[in-house]
Amino acid sequence: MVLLKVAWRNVWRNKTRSGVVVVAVMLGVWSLIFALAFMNGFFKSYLSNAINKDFSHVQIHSKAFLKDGEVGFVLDNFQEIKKALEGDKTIASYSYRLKTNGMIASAKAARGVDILGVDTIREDQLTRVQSDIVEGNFLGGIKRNPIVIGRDLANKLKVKIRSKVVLTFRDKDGELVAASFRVAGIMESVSVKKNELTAYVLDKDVRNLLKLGPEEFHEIALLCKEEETVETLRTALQQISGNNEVASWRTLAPELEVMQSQSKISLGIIVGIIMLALCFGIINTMLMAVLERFKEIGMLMAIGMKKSNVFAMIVYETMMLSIIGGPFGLFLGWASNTALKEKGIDLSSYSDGLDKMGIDSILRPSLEQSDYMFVVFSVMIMAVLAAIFPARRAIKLDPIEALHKI
Amino acid sequence: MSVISIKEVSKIYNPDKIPVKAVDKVDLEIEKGEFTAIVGPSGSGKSTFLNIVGGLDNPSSGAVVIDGVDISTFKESALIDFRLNNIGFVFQSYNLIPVLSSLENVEFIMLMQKIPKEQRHARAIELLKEVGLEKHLDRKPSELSGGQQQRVAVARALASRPKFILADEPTANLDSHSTENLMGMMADINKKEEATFLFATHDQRVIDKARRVVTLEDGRIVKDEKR
Ligand SMILES: Nc1ncnc2c1ncn2[C@@H]1O[C@H](COP(=O)(O)OP(=O)(O)O)[C@@H](O)[C@H]1O
Ligand SMILES: [Mg+2]
Repeated sequence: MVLLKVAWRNVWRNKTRSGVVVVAVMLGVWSLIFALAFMNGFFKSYLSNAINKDFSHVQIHSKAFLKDGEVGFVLDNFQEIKKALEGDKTIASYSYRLKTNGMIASAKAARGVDILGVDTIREDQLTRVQSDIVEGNFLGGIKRNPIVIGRDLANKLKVKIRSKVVLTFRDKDGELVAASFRVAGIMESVSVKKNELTAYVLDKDVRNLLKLGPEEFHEIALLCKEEETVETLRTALQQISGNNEVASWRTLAPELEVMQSQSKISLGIIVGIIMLALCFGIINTMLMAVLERFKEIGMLMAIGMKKSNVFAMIVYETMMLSIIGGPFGLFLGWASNTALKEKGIDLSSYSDGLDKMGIDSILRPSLEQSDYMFVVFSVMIMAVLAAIFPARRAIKLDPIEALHKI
Repeated sequence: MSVISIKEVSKIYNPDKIPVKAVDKVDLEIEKGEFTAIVGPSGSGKSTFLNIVGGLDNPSSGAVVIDGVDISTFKESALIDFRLNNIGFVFQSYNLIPVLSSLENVEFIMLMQKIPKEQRHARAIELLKEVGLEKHLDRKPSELSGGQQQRVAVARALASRPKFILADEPTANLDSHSTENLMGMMADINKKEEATFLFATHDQRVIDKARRVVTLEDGRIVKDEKR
């Protein structure tokens, strides 16, 4: 206890120096929390965009359709699945889709394209296409064969709203069919795929062309209300799905999981660098403090203070420096995160590039309680590590030498 | 039995290169209650000798027997423990912990000896009274004069109830008035408490107070007079 008191008073002997370290620890912890929250928000935004706009939580296809993509392979047991989806309270929204790929051609150019035949209401509930539409609207306002394409695809085809395009694809029997559509809307999505490779048409328009019957679909995509229930639902659906493959986003987009773990690694590196810088700052300060008090520490050992006590005294001093600064940094980090969560950070001046990466231009820092605990824990580890070196230096002092250099 | 019994103690620095015989085969017996000065010119080996007697350093050869215990071959950590419980120290300067008050400085050494709080508090006050600092219990060393700081150091040295008190040039940084004061006070305590003092000095005013004067020259005792 008295050692703690002595250590505490020693910390304040050189107020400026200790103050600088305390502020450094505070800023370090703050920047740590901010960097973590920023990266976390970045990744979360990417992940939620990928799920909400592209993959959904669960997709169902016929296994044969997944294998060779032929439009004859429609979903198995559709009636039963439909009933299950309608009765399930964990589901937020779902959409039935006809899906094939083909060619889209304008007067000027032609491109490969994924054609999605959808019900506008269901699809908009699921992937919020309407909110991505920047011109026209989602398959409305055109009487016959409306189509919605992405901004990048429209630019490549050099088409505008109401322009005519021709879709060419194979029907159920493998025959090529072609039909003309009119651009009803142009979308700008955070999904690269949607901007360049996707065309939405009405399911009824494309069903006839594919020669498929009513209630025949290629794909069901759905979002759960909570991520936690995805796996349960997937398993349940798989059981009634016969020859279908029911896949969650984790299997559909393994790169997202990879990215998740990579973002953890890069966060680890950031944490490591900030910690290392703090650690060196503290070691340096405490070494200075120890060398400055050469004689005093020598005297303490001469009159009989145990090395373990001298060691403890320096460790206490070092840890106090970190422990005073830490909570302030934590508080600042928490406060700035909370403030920025409401408003978000507007990255729109850089957002051209971000859009292409699938990230919103308004970034909201996000940090779990466990991440705060992680920061607290790493600061404490760092403090202990930083304490060892100066404390060892102190007990290596030779009291005779220290007392003679007067 | 003598409190301190030094037998054929030598200390050779740099034994491999150019050896310096700082202490050369010294024999010395100090009895309880002595007030003895080790004198001699600078470089004659006073500090080296006191360091060995005080268990701060091991001799190159010979025996250092304190109250029947030969500490000449003690390891560092055993010496630290031995010093805490058997020897009181007053150095030339830097005696006190700057962040603690006079009272806390005196209590600190008893705390290291694990003496209960009430006991050490009472004893610290009593000792500070004895050295005439009862009005300055709460002052930090920086708020005391050099002489007052040395008196706190004497109180601190007495606090651990040592076998004897070692003082290496305790008055070197003091003016003549403070020197008189400090030496008078140490002589009083020596008489009153039967505390054994051994100090190194080359200050004539200090030598005058001593009741036994041991003179060193080139690490050897050349004169040993009792008065
Ligand atoms: N650590 C050391 N290494 C080598 N020589 C030393 C060391 N300490 C003291 N000496 C030498 O030992 C001799 C005695 O020194 P010291 O005991 O300090 O004398 P005094 O205290 O009487 O002035 C001197 O010649 C000094 O140079
Ligand atoms: Mg000396």
